[in-house]
Amino acid sequence: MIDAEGLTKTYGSLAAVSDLSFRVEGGEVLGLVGPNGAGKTTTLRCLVGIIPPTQGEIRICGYSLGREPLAAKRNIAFLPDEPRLFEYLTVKEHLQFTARIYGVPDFQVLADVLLEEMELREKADALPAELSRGMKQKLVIACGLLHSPKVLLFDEPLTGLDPIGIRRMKSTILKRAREGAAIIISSHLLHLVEELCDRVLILNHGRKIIHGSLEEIQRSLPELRGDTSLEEMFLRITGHAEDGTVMK
Amino acid sequence: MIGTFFYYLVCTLKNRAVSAFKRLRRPKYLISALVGFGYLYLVFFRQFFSRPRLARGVPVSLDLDVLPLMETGLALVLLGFVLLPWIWPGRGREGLRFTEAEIQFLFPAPILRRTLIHFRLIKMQLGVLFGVVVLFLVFGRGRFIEHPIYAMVALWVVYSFLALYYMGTNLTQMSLAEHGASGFKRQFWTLTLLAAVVVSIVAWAKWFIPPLPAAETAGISDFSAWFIRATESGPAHYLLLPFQVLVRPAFSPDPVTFLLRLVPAVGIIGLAYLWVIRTDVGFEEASLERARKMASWLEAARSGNRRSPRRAARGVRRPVFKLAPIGFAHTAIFWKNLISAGRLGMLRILPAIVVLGIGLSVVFSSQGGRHELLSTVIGTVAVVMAGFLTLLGPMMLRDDLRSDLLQVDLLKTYPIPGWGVVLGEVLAPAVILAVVEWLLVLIAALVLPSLGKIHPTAFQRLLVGLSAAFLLPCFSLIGVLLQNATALLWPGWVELGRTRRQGIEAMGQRVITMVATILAFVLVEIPAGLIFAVIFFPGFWLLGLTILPVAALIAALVLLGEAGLAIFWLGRLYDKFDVSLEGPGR
Repeated sequence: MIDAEGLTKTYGSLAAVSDLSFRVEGGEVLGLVGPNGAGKTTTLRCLVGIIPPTQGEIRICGYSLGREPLAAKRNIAFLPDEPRLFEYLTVKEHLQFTARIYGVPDFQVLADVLLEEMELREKADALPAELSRGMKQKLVIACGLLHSPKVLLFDEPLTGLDPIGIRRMKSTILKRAREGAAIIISSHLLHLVEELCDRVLILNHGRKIIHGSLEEIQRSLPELRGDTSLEEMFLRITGHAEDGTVMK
Repeated sequence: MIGTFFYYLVCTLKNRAVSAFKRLRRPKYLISALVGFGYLYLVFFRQFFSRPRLARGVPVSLDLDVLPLMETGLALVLLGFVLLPWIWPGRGREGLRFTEAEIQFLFPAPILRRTLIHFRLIKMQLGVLFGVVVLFLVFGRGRFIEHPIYAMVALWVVYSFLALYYMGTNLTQMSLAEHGASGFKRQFWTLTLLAAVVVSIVAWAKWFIPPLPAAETAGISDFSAWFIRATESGPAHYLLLPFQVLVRPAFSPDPVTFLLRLVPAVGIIGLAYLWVIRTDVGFEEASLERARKMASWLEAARSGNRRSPRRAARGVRRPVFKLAPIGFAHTAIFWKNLISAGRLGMLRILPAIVVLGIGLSVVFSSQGGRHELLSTVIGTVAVVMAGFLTLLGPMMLRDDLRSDLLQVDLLKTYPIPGWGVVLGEVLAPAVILAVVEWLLVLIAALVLPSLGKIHPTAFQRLLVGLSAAFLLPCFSLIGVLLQNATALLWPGWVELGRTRRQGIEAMGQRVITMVATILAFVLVEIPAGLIFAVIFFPGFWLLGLTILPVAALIAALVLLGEAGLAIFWLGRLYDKFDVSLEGPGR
């Protein structure tokens, strides 16, 4: 479903992402982790077509993002960490607008379900200024899910959500994965990644450090004990372990 | 505590200046700043560095007959400003606007409410003094006024009074909203004074305005004399007196008179200050919010829309049309931008003004020659407004890429081709401008009896109106496209969103952008202009004015063709637009 091959994004002499290749199948959840400035957000923005990669090829559901951007984008939902909404559209109008953009004929039924799921029914006629940050985040998620995308990209999906919202968000992600969507979650919350993701891709300085399931990573690094957490692995791999150990 | 406030303000100003200078390290900002300084030097500063004789030019010496007219006219304008926040609650709310950081740091601090008001007053004075300095630069050393120093001091007096007055009005309205019936008791004297002003205006309008001189025979001097008589009759004399006192120092002939006139003017400022400081109202965020909702509700109730305060405060209105879920995706962007434009104050009022204009036009056009003067005024205003909107409307209405480039991250994820995004974006301002222009053309065609010495027949007015209806919306569309082109080509130079950037380099960027846009506008109009000329001049010789709408229609089609090409070109630019290099904040 998501296929990145040699993805590179440079700004002058600075390589934000360098020769990154990976694949995410339908029903799989990939955790994209790395320290600040590792290139996670740049990778996500390239994958969704917000910024063009300097080099490399991205395919979404078989469509090349460079050559068939519209077909590719019809299958994607990008849910950024900072909710971006239109100041003068109400909650309901945001859904109506998104439905037209993606051509969702039975959007009213879906919108009702999503409003209920995101606990936004009572705020259907509210403008973004009247919503809390968490509600704005939920509205962005509702808009993202409206066209039943096959590929979902989450950038820090739990930011601003209350405990109930967090639980719902996790179940939403898992539900979409069970339904066959390919999902990438970029987050600093490593316990979330550990809990939800089938595979993990660790980036540092724009380069892929390691990619695989937790077991595969543990197997590939014999220095680690069998019960090492992702957090411990991450710190060691990125050279921030308390004892100063760095994995090769 | 006041010292602390000064420290904060001085640090803020200093750091802002440092940031502005640091920005000049980027070449495009440096070039823009140089252009901005060059513009300032040529237009304003040159007079300070050149020889006085050359720079001074001929100052406008005010005719003794003109002085009372100007004084009274300005006093009348001031009265309008004073009444505005009561007619339209919420105007001038800036008086009590604190930044988020100020709210976070100052509101919980052990500071008296009165001290916070003083802080706002100090901050407002910075704005007032800046405004006065800018106007001093504009009017310069006697370029327009004989004694610019007097005018500047008078301007400071007027600005300071209005700033204080708006703050006081705000506090009073908040008190009314906060305390309900007891608020009326607390603000008894203020409300009594306001009621007296309203009653006086009504009484003056009903019984004291002298009859207008006959339009056919009267000249400008007759109308001036009528204006002076009208503003001195009945309660108008007393109503305008305090405002005349405020503006009078500007027209002083010598320093002694100036100082003598300044004393009562400063006294009025003192009274306004006492009023503000004695209005003991909690203006913390919750109160402000309640006052805002109350004002919105009053506004809605006055307009006949008695919705609940909660709903009214949201400012939510039904979209112009229902958006079907299936169809061209760019229609969704058009729909969104129409909603955005419709929920802004200006566009709520504009249709009402135009409808009122049409109503009056129909009434006057059916009354024959009885209201020729008023018809001329309305018709001329409609023509001027149509021209103004055609040229400046594209700069004013910004519900297109200029607003949405701030959301480009989101737009880029949509499965819409670039040309579709551009088309959807430019449609809203273009359609709004077209509709208003058509209404204005209709008003002018209905009522304008003459254009100077030309007295067109109804048929001729129809032909001219039809031609204007073809051409004006196309000019506006081209204007909107040019504005969007500058946003896509030089996003760093265009003010994105609704907030205007400040600073000398921003001014330079504005000047460059405006000059480039005007040049491009002229170039784009050339082919259509040539085709118009080729059709119109021989056609006029053969058919007379009947050829005008035909030539206009063909020229309009040429312009639409150019617009179509521009949309495709801009679409390609949009597709290539790299958010990481050109996006907001880069």
